[in-house]
Amino acid sequence: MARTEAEHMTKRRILLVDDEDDIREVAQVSLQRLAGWEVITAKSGEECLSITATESFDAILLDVMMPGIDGPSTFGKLQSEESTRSIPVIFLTAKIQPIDLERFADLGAAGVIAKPFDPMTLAEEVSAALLWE
Amino acid sequence: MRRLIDQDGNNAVDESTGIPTPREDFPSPSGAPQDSAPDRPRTVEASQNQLPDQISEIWQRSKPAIMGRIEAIEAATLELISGTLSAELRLQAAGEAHKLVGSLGTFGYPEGSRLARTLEETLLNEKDWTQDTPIVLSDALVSLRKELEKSPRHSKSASTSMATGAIGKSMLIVEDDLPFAQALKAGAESGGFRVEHASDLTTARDILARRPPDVVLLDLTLPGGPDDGLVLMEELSSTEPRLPVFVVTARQQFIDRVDAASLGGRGFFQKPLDPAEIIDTIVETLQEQDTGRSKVLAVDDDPILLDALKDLLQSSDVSVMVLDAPSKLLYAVEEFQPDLVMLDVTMPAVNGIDLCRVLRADSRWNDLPILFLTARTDPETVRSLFEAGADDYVSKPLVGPELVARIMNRLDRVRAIRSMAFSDPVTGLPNRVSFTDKAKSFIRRATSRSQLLSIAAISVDGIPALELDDPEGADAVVRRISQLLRNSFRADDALSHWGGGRFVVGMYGMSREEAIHRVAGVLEALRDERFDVAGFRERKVTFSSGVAQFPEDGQDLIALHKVANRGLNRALQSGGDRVVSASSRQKTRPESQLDVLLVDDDESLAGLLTHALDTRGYTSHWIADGHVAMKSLIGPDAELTARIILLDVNLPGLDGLGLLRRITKEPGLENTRVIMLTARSSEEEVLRALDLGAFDHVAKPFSLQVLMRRVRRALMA
Repeated sequence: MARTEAEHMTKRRILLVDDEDDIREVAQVSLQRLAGWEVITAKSGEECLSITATESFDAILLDVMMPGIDGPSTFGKLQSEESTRSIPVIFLTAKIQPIDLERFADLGAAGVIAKPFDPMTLAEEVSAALLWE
Repeated sequence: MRRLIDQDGNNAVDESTGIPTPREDFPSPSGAPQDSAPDRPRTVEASQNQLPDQISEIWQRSKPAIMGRIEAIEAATLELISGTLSAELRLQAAGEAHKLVGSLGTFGYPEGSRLARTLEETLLNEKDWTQDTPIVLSDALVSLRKELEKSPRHSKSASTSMATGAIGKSMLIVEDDLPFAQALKAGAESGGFRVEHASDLTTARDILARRPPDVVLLDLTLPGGPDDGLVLMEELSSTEPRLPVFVVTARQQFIDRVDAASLGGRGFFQKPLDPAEIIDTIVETLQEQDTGRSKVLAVDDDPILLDALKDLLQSSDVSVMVLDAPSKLLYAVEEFQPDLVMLDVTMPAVNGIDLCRVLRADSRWNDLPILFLTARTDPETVRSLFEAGADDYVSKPLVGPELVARIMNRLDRVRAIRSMAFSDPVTGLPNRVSFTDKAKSFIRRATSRSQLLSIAAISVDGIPALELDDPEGADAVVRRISQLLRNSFRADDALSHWGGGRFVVGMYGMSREEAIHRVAGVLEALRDERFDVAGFRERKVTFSSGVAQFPEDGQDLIALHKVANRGLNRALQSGGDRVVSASSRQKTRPESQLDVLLVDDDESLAGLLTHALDTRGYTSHWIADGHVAMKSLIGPDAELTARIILLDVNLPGLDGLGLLRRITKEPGLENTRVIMLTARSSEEEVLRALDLGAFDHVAKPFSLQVLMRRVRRALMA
């Protein structure tokens, strides 16, 4: 009568946006291994916007500090498009001052995950923020 | 066993365990879907095992880039030292540090992230730079490089965090510093706690009334001052004595740890401190205190059954840990140290009977009661159970009362046997062996968290002689004293009896001075007790004690105990009935340098005070006349100095404040702190005294405890 892994964490499609190669790899591996989610990655805000124009996702993990279009600006653009407005976005940031967290909350993000994140619990944190399972 | 082969023709299943092997290669960046989710939970656990290895592999590849960032910061530091650091380079370096903050912790170097944050903040806050800034940066960089040479530290995965026993427990965090509170909350939640948060005491009291938590973490630096927090602790210690309260303070504050301990504080933390460490310590402390409860570890692959078991067994006497990952059994047994293990016979991946054999093969678990749950009770199965080393079995489906009865019976027997090995027969306290174990874990914890630890060796005065005359009487006295000691020391202190009225106490997080005061407080309370035994009848019972501090006085238990004994001997030689530290400072100081000089004309007060000071091992002297005091301290015939002077304002024939003024002006007495003893009704006296340079004041009539606290504060500050 064991619960299946599929029931434990339903298969989701996540877009992970971060300019750092190693963070992208670790996060992707962690979410795939521990949650079985499908993880697509993007190196920049620009790449994120171009991917979301044609593909759909259950959630987007969005790094704040990126060269080019930064996280909050990318978020703004996602919000302004009908097709991407309703995708929940979680910011990833190394800043933890209350004023910054408030700023992100005011923008309308679904949540904020602090860096450095713990690869062993990242999937749980994402699920908790999005009230999944 | 059949092999399962996937479409590439490779083995997809590990032959010995039947666990599917995960794919070796990483998915391509475009995110091709992984193997379709297998239906067994054990694959999740296999994945959890594999993840750290994969992360290591990524780390090896990322390391050059990481080192490049460190080098960039080092280059900027060099430019700063030679005065040529441009704004652009500074901000660039800060940016590199920011990236390091965000990634090092993920790779298992949380300390690395913290050091990087120091670097980032220092580089950004140019207006706060001082002469020392380059040193701050270089030190952090050196530490950072060192840190990255160590092996990475990954948090425990979910199933082993169940060993913390925090699952299902709730914590109330009273903390107004929001980022800190959030970090604490995250740490507590990942440890398995449900968390409630309050930023002030009113909200905290509200939550305590409506949804009482299992643990409280209270920051004493709340606005309103530490006294508010202490008041709350006082309330809790009378209304909810069993509720553990852990306390956080800021480094600059003098919070009397002794007071916090006597108000029931179970643990004491000083900021700045890593929130994760705070949570870890709380969990460890709670675990150790759960020693009153019996622990059952249940292993089954059926989560519904495990839930049912937990409901049946969990109570205030039994704590149940469930494990649905049989391969983690040995680890769980080591961590959780159960009193009884329940195994299912038929589990898919691993045979329960094999697990039993494995446990029994380890000499540590020879006597561990193992109970099987089985749907099959045919003679063959039953025989193989017992052959494998089981103690008993219960058939599925479970019948509640029968199961509970069988288990409780076993647990009682285990408890009896265990207590014989670890308890002292006369007092029921932990014995020497048990204390040695506990002390070792204290030392380990103190080392890894850079905390203090003190050991006190206590010897009841007069017991050896009494034992010769009246051994039973001696036992009765020792028993009574052990009760008093048990009530006076907290659950997280390690109190033990080594025989013959010799006690040893380990106090985690306490400095020598604090420990002395703690033990002296107990001694003073003891003096009020009366015993009805020859030699002690109508006589005050006292003890002598020596105190040693880790790590200054010794790095291991043997060394610490030796130093504590040295102090004890010194106490005995000085007449007993006192608490002494063995630190060499006292030997080399000349007679004329006192800890405390009391200048007051009240003879009975002087008697009380000097006795209390003696008890705590302070050198003290009493001078009743202000003029004599003046001559001894100031001028050509001066022969005394003291660290603290307790000075009465109303001295006959000499103005106390006048003497104060002279003292604070006297060159040889700059480091002397004066505590004025003032009359309650006179506020202006107090103000004048403080203006004239008094360190503190206490209004008469005062309680001894209050004065001792002030003396302690003046000595420590």
